[in-house]
Amino acid sequence: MNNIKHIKYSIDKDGIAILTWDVADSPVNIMNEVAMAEFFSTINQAIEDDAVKGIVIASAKKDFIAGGDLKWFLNYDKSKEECFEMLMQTNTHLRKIETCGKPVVAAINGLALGGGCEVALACHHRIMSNHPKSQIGLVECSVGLFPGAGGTQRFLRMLGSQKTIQYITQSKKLTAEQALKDGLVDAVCSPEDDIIALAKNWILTKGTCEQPWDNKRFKVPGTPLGVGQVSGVSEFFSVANAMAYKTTHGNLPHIKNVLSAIYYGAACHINKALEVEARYFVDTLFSKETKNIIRASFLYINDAAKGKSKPKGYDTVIFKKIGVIGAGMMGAGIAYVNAKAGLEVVLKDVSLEKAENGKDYVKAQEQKKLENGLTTRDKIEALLQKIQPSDSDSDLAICDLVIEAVFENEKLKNSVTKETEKVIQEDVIYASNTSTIPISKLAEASSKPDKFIGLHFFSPVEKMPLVEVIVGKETSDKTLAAAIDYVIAIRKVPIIVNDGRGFFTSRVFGKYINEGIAMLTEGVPPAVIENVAKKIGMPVGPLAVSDEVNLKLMLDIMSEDPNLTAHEIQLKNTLATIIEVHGRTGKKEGKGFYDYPKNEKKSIWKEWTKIYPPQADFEEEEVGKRLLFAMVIDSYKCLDSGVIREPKDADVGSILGLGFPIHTGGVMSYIDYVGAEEFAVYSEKLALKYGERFALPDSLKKRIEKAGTGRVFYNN
Amino acid sequence: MDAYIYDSVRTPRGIGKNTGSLALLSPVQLLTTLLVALKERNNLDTSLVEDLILGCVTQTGEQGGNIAKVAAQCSNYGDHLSAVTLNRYCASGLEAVNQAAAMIKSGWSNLIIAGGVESMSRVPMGIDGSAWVMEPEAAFGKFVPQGISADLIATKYGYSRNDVDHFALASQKRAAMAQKNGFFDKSLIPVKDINGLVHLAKDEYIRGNTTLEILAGLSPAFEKMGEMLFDQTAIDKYLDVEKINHVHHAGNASGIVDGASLMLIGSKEIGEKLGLKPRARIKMGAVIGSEPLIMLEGPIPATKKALRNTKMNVTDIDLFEVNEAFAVVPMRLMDHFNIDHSKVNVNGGAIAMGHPLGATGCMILGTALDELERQNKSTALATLCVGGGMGIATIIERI
Repeated sequence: MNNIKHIKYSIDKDGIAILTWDVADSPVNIMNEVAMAEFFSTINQAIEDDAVKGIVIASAKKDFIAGGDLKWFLNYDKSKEECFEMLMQTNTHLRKIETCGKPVVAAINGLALGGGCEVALACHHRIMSNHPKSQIGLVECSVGLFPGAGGTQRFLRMLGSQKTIQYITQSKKLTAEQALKDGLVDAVCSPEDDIIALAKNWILTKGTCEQPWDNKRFKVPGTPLGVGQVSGVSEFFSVANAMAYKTTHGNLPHIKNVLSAIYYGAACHINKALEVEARYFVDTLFSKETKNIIRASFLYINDAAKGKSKPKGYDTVIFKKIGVIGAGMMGAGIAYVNAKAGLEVVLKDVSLEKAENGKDYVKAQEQKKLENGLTTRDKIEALLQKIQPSDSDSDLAICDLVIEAVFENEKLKNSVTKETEKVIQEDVIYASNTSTIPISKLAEASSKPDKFIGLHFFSPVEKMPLVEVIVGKETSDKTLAAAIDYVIAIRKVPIIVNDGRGFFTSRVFGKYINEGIAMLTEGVPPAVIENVAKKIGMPVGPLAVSDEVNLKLMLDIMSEDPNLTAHEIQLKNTLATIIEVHGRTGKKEGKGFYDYPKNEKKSIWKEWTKIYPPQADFEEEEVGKRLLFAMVIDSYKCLDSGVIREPKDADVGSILGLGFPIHTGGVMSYIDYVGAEEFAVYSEKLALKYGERFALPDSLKKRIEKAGTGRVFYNN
Repeated sequence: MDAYIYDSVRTPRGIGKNTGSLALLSPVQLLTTLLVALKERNNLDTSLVEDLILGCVTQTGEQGGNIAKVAAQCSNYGDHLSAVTLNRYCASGLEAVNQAAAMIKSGWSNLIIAGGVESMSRVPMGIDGSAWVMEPEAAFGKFVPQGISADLIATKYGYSRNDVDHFALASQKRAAMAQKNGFFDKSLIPVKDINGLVHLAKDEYIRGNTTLEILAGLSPAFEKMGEMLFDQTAIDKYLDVEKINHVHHAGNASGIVDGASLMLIGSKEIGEKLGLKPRARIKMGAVIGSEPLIMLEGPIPATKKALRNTKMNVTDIDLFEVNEAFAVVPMRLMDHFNIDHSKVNVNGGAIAMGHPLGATGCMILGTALDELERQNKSTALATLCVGGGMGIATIIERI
C-alpha cells in the first residue's frame, strides 16, 4: 500500500487483518476525507485478500474515532448532487463491510462518537473498553447536523424508533455498560485487557458475519407490520414530532430532518433506508441554520472557550486563590464555580454570617445534585473545603485575583476598591463584577487602574457559561491576558468587551426589552409579544424577563444614562407610569407585567389590554423582527464603536449571554441569515414606521452594499 | 329532481368499550340488523336498491376493506347491490347521505341506502394510523389532537369550564327526557342476538342523573398531554393565546360508542312505485375546508354555505342538530348565529349518547327528522365539525 498515512495495516499468523486508525498530525482520530478514503481502500484490500479470515478495526490513539471534521462540513462547497453521491459511496463501502462474508470487529478502546460510532455500527461485533472516559454515541445533533453514515438507520434497527430518536436528538453519549445493555455493543472489557486479542478471539471462536438487518425475517424493533402501516408507531411518532416541535419551535431543520430520516427509513430495506438518510442529510448540510450552528458553536464558541482572543505575547497565568467580595447571589455563584474548577476561594462579606450564607447557597446547590445522584458526599465536602467565608479584608491579602461582587452602587463599589487595595499585593488584578457601571469610571477609585478590569458574570453563575471581560481605558493588555486565563481556568467562555454603558450584553438586551415594552404600549397583545419571542427562538419573552430584572432597577439604570434617545426617554416615562400609576414592578413583588399567584403559574396581568387596547392586526413577522433587529442593529453599533472588537465576539456573547437563537448564528450572523439586502430593506421599513433606532449606520449600509448578494460577515 | 328520505333507522348506541352491550357484535352485524329492519319495515323490494353508501372512519380490521360491500353481501338484498365505504372523518355518515341525495338529484340513481357505522369497542379510534398524525413532513408543527383544538377554541372565545359543563348537563338532561318520553323510538331498531333475544334496545351511554358537581369533579382530559406536548404547537399558530385553558373532559365531550344508522333515499317516482311516503326532502348539502390546527370551527362556514346555496336564512331553520364532538362546538355555533338553545340539539347529543364516528352524521339527521315530525315543524339543519379542518351541513324540509 502506497501513500497510506492514517491507517496502519497488518495480517497476523491466523489470517486476521488489523486496521489501526492513527490519523497523522492529530491527537485524535478525526474522520476527514483522506482518512476515510484510506480506510475504505485498506479494508477493501483485506476483504479481497483470500488469506484474510477476519478483520479487526482498532485505534492507535487513546480514543477510537472521535467523529467527523466539522470544519470540512462548514466549508463544504460542492453541489448537493456531489454531496449525495459522496454519502452514498460511504454507504456502499460500509455495506460492503457488512456483507463481505468475513467477520469484522470494532475494538472500541475509547471515545467512539459520530462517524466513529457509525463505523463501529457497520461491524459485525463491537467490543468496548469500560474506561471511565470511554463513550459511544451519535452526537451530531448537538452541532446542527445528524448522523450521515448510516447511524440513524443502524441505530433504528438495533434500538427501535423510540430510543433512536431520543438518543440521536439529545446527542446522548453512552458508557460501555449502558451501550451493552442497549445492545449497541456486544461485549465490554476493562482498559487493562488486550482488546485486539479479544477481538481476534471472537473471530476465531464465533466469527459470524451477517448483520441482523440482512436477515430476510428482520423487522425494525417495535414495528411488527412496518412503519406507516400500524398504530403504536403512529402514536409514538406523533409524540416525537410534538416533543421536538415544542423544544425547537420548528427553527432547527436538522431536528425535523432526523425525525424524517428515521420515520421514512423505518419502512425500507437497509439500502433504501440509507438513501433516505443521505437525502435528508444533504438538505440539512445545505441549510443556513446548520451552517450557523456549526460556525457559532464549533468554531467561535470553541475558540472563545480556548481563549483565542487573548492578547498575544503573554504566558499563561495560573490562579490558585481567588478573593470574592460580597456573598450575595452573584458572589456565592462566583465562589461556587471557582471551587468547582479546583480554585481556593475567600468569600468575604461585611459579616461572617453573610459570608456563611453565601457558602450555604453552594451547599444547597450541591445538595440538589446529590439528591439527583450527580455527586457524592465526599466530593461536596472537598468542594466546600475550598470556600473560606470571611469578614476580614486581611484574608484577601494572599489572593491572586480579587473579584468585587457587591451591590450595584458606584459609591459602595468605590469604597470597597479603596479598602481592598490596601491589603492586596501590588500585582494582583482587581476585577469588578458590575453589569452596568462603566469600568473606567470605577477604575478612578483605584490606585492602579492598569490592574483594574471588569468581569461580568451572568446569573445564575453556575449555569451561565459566558463572562464579559470588560476592558477599561487604562486596563493593561497584561491584565486582560491574565483575566482571560482566569476565565478559562474556571471553565467559562470569555468575550472581550471595551468599556461602555451596559457593556455589550446588558446594553443589547436592553433593546430587546425596550422593544417588547414599546409594542405593548402600541397595542400589540402582550401574549403575542411573549409567544412570538419564544417562537423565533428566544428563551424568555421580553415582558417576563423584565419582571425578572425588575422594572424599578430598569428605571434606575435608564435614569442614570445621560445619552437616552427620544424613544428611550419616552419608554423611561412609560416605565415610571407603569411603576407609579399601575403599581407594577416585577416578580419580586408578585406583580409586574405578569401576576405571580402563589402555587400557580404566572399569567399576564389582565389589565394591560385595558391600559393599552390591543390592535387587532398585528403582523407576526414584524413583531419577531422588531425584537431581533433591535438587538442586531445595536450590536452592530457596538462593533462600529469598538465596544466589541470582532463580529464573532458579538455572536458568541449574544448566544451565550442573551440566548439569541443559535440557528441564526448570533447577532451579527443574523444579518446574513436574513439576507443582507433584505435585512437593509426591512430595517428601512421599520425605521420609517417605528423610528430611528431601526435605521442602519452608514458603515453597515456600505458593507451590505459591498456584499451585494454575498455575505457581510464571514465567508461561510 | 328532488331527493327524498323515505325512512331512517339506527341502532341504539352501546358503550364503546369491551364491556359495552354491542361489543360482542361486529360492525357488519350492526349494519345487517338495520338493513333487515329497513326491508321489513318498508316491505322493500330490495332489487330496486341500487347502491349502499356508508361512512366509516376507522377502516381497518373488521371495518377494513369495504365494509359496506360486506354488509350488502350479508344482508340478502341480492347480488346486484353495489356498495362503497367513504371516510370524511366524523362527517362520514352525513356525507354518505349527501352523496346519495346528489346521485338521486342528478338522476344517476333512483334508490340508495346511505348511512354509516362505527364499532369503537372492536376497532379502536386511531388504530388505522394517519400521515397527519405521525409523518414528520405532515405532522411536525401542524398536528394537534382534537381535544387540544377544542380547548383552544374554548380559550380563544372565552368559554369557561363552568360554561361547557352547563352545556353538557343540558345535553344529558335533554337526552334522558327524550329517551324517557320515547322520542327516539321511531327510528330505534333493537339489536338482537342469533336467537332473537335483545342485546340492546336503547342508548346506554346516557347519564341523566349527572350533576354540575359531578361534572366539575372530572379531570381535564387534554391538560397533561397538552402541557407536555401539543399546546406549544397550537400557541405558535394562535399567538394571542397565552396558555390553553383545558376545559374539556370525558363528561363534556362526545362519548365513545358503537352504533350504525341508515336512511332510505330515493326519487319521487321510486317512492310512488314502491308505495312509500316521502318524509322529507334533502334540500342542500355542503362541505367546506377550514384551518386544520383549530380544526373544529367548520360547522359555521358549512352552515353558511348550505344556507347561501338554498337562499335561506338561519332564522328559516326550525331545528338544529350540531354534533357535540366537544361542548364548545355547538356553543360556538349558537353564539355565532345567535340561535337560541331551545332550537339546538333539543333531545341532547353526542355528549349524552355518544358519537359512533362514521354513523353519527346520518344518525343526527334522522333525529332531526323525527323531531320535526313530533313538533310538526318544517326545516332542520344538521352539521358536524370534522377532523383535519372541515365542516359539513345538510338541510332537510318536511313534505
